[in-house]
Amino acid sequence: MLKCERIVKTFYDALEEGKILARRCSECGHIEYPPYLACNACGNLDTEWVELPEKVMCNQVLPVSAMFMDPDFKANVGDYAIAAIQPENAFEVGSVLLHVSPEEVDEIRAKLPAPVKPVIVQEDGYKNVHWELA
Amino acid sequence: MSYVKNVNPLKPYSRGVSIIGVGATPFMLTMDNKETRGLTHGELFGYAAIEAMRDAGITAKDVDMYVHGNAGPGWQEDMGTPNMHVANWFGMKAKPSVHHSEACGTGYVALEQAVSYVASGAYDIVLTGCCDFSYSIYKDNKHPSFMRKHCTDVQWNDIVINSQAKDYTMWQHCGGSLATEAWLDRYVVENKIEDKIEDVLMTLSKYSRENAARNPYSVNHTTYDDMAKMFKMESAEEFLRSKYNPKLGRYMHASHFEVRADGAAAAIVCPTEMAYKFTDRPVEVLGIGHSCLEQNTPALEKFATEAAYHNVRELTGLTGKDIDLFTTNDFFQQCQFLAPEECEYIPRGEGWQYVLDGRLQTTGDRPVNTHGGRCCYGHAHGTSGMHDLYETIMQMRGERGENQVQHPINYAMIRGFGGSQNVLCTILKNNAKEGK
Repeated sequence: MLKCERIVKTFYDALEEGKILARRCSECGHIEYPPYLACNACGNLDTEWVELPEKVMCNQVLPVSAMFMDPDFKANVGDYAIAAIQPENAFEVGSVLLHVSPEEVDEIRAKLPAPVKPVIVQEDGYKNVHWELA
Repeated sequence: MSYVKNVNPLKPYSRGVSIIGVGATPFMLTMDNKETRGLTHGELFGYAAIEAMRDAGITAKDVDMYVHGNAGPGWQEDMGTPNMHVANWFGMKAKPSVHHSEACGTGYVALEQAVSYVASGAYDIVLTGCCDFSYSIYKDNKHPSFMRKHCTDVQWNDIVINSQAKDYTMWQHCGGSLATEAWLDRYVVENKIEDKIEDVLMTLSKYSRENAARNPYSVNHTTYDDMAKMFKMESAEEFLRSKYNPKLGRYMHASHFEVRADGAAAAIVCPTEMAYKFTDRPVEVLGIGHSCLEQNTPALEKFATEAAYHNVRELTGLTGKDIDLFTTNDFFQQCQFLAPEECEYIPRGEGWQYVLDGRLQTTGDRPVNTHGGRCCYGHAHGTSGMHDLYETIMQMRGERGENQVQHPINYAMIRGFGGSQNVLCTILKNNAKEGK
């Protein structure tokens, strides 16, 4: 009988313990971050749990669009910008770069791509991963 | 970064498929006009479908099955099995039908669905249509559907945010901002046009609104010059750079975002070998490239366009250079030059200059979005793709009045995009008989 492991819950549970999990393809080594079941690089159906690689780059930074500013989130984390993040051997994903005011966006953009490190943030009833410059 | 190798090659259709009829309602703000207030989803879909059947010279009896599309049956109408909400309105009782919903990509998928049904050999004549009430949503479940209410901007923003994937994406707090400007930002950096992009975007707004103002199917019938006069300003440029057009991101102003509307459109497709039985002006669907990327992929619209275009180019042997008219989803207005570039309709890195030189305008040599586009003509989410098809077919027939392009259209491309998912590149061939 098919066993259905809880991937999403495992990811969020691990954050409670300070760990950031991903899945690695057993065939090509591609990292699925955030974790999914199968490999989106080669199509292999088997992946396994690993901790997120230490090397993560920020490739793009943009100010938050006025249309999509989340006041509750800003009240929780302070200034932030929109970012494209890429862990080693993984695809680029969207996220946010913490502690960046709109005035600081240009200065950071001039340094891209730049290494970043994860910050585990308490949100409304769960922990989440965001980023800051390393 | 590229996802082209993730998308398997397209295969040729088992039999050719052509469009023999189209119909569309104008885009409307139904709640705001006493003549349209109270129109319902079934009525609008029905009017568009009946016009498409009349255009094809058929009746409901001839239709083998139909496809119904809508961007958001939950938030617009609270519909279950939405195809059943329209069936009785245009003579389809007991006929097979399906519903599909791919947000703003719905109208493009609508054509692909119908073409696939006919190409399979299972059905000969398929009606495909879309209807969206993006501006005037259902009131509640205690009243008939003619009683409606405005969908406010706040409600709409909540819908956009809250409809993202809820495993991880929605909680990244970035999907909307990334979708709107990530592609444009990469383009600006790559082409070193930081000092020019404001002029490019304002030029785009000005002439797109002029296209819309000339289009009787549009929700906007005033130009930005008219708006300037209303506010006692000298010119459209002054208005567009004023506080009435605030900057909302790094590059984009309010004028570069969609204008929500209500409306419907439909098309009839049949095997190419049968098309001349119904019309002297069939348009053949040569291929539809299709790629989807989830919202948490930065610049997803660029990468999905690249993959969808790659596939349709490989299938048809045609490139953007062979295309005579380009129509594209532009609920972020810059897609009027980003998408044609990605699809080789205009040279890479020169789209911004084409805008400034007026070459993408209706009177230009490489026209794009002759109807005025989502930010001016209007945007009834899932239906807009079907309106792009309607505009393209009318242009191919030479029936677009003041917005008619100046050259013959043998091939057209429609580049569709939905909110963070489906991108489709459709190539159409004009098979009109000589002199038609």
